[in-house]
Amino acid sequence: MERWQAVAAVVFGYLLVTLAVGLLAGRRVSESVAGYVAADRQFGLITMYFITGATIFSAFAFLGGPGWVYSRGAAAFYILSYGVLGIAPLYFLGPKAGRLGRRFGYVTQAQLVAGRFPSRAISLLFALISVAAFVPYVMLQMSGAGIVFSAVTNGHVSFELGAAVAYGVVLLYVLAGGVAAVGWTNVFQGVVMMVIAWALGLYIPTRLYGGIGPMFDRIAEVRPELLVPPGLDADGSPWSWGAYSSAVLSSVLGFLMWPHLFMKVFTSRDDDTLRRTVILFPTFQLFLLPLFFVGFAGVLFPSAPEQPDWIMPHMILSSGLPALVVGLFCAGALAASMSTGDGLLHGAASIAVEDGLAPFVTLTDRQRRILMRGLVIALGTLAYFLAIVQKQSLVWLLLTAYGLVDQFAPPVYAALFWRRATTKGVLAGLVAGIVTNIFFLLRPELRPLEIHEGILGVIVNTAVLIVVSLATAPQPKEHADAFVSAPEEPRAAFAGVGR
Amino acid sequence: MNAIARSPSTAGTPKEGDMRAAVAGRLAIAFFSVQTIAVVYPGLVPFSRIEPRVLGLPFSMAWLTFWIVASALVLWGVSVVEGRSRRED
Repeated sequence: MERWQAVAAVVFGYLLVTLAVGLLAGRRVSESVAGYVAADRQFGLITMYFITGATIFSAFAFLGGPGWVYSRGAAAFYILSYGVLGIAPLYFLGPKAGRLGRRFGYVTQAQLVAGRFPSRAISLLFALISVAAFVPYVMLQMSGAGIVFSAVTNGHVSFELGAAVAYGVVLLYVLAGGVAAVGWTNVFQGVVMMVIAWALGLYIPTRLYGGIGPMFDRIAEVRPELLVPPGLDADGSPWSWGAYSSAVLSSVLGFLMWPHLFMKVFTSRDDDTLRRTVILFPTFQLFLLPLFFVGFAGVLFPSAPEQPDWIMPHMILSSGLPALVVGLFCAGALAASMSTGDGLLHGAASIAVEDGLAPFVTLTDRQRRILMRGLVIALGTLAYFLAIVQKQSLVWLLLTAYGLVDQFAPPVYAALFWRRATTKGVLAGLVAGIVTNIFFLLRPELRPLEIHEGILGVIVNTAVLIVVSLATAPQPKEHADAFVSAPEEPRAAFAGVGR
Repeated sequence: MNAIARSPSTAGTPKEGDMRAAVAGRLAIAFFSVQTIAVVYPGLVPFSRIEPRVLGLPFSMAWLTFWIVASALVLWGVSVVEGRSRRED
């Protein structure tokens, strides 16, 4: 057996195990929309922790992160900063949103916002932006799977075939098991990813340079500009502080607003589970460090990959590691890609049906589930074809998607925290924010100080939301209070009896 | 740990617990606000340097890593204080 065949065998074995975990998990939940989308709201701490971590760490972290470190140095450090700041608000608003979800039966973020601001247009806009932002994110994941397969088998398994096989497996278990399958496969994949990232991140620099410290000594001598933010732009010129800082801020704002992530507040069992997930989250963030080490190890390495995003597999193949280890790396990278891609496909389809269609057409529970499954296939196929023709870097794809998702932040915060916000204000702000974001995405040279288009959109979005809300009639007090105060549930009230 | 394990005499009054939780929450928000400035322009500028090295890492990378670790500790601290206040309710 040749080396690439041994590697491929390890990877296929891994895919089979993942498929089995997904299919088994899917049999445990009820046949209903709540079961398919929110897993009967029954996830405990361990599942929630790995779902959150594995969903967030994707092919972006495994391939895009090292790719950016390799080509742009400290520019990639923006990724270190946004995760914790992005998830911290969940500690404060997650339990509140979760309570509202249990009380009113929400399973998506748009239902929460449209519950406070009754408007089918808001609901539809949320659905459209979600799907529009999910497509580049899924493309990124599929490209990641394709890169891994193609690189480690020396092209014997092509980029197109690799992406197709990995996502064939994802489609199977998402269709069969919904969010329960996504959850349990992520527990498994999260563990695989973390172990592999740390093992490789420590091994490769040690083998090539004799350790992490000696590696940075060498880089500090030869390419010191790579070690200090804001790092370099794609063409090798210095990146601007405006672009670096607004990449951080745009990602911080958008982080929680990703619908597939926000929806997790509706899947968790209780408030404490959510809070604990937030507390443990930084431990996942630390796992970016070993991935960055691999990117830095490539800087002074004599040979170079075709594209920066291929640096991770390039380093692994050049380190003379046994086929089993290479196979396990692929498994880790595929885990990263698939564990995010599955949640994205599932989330996009659920949102398109719940928020894009359900407010306009009456659908039975059964029809909705069938539609969701159809959409998982349709969106997966669309993203696949776009992925095999696109040429942008993985990080660029994600940053672009973030600009769109950022526009959800003003409506969500207004729904939960500002009594005076009105439906007209939120709708006007949302439209203005989306238009601003798209305008600067298409005309990047017009951005002031190279600030990210998502932040520019949020500034306009928020300003319009406030001005129009103040100019229109306030909502009835009891209605706004139900959302802004979000009183504790009966269980907690019962606990207070002894006072 | 459950509510029964804590005797009322050591728990303080519920009002004190609520106040501690509110203070902890506000401190956490202040901490995250400071962090937001410390990891972008202009707060990051003085720390965007290679020396002194920390555990082999360039200082810039160690600085950003420090905030990740500190965040975990702060969130954990808030949850301990809040958890106590909730059990006292």
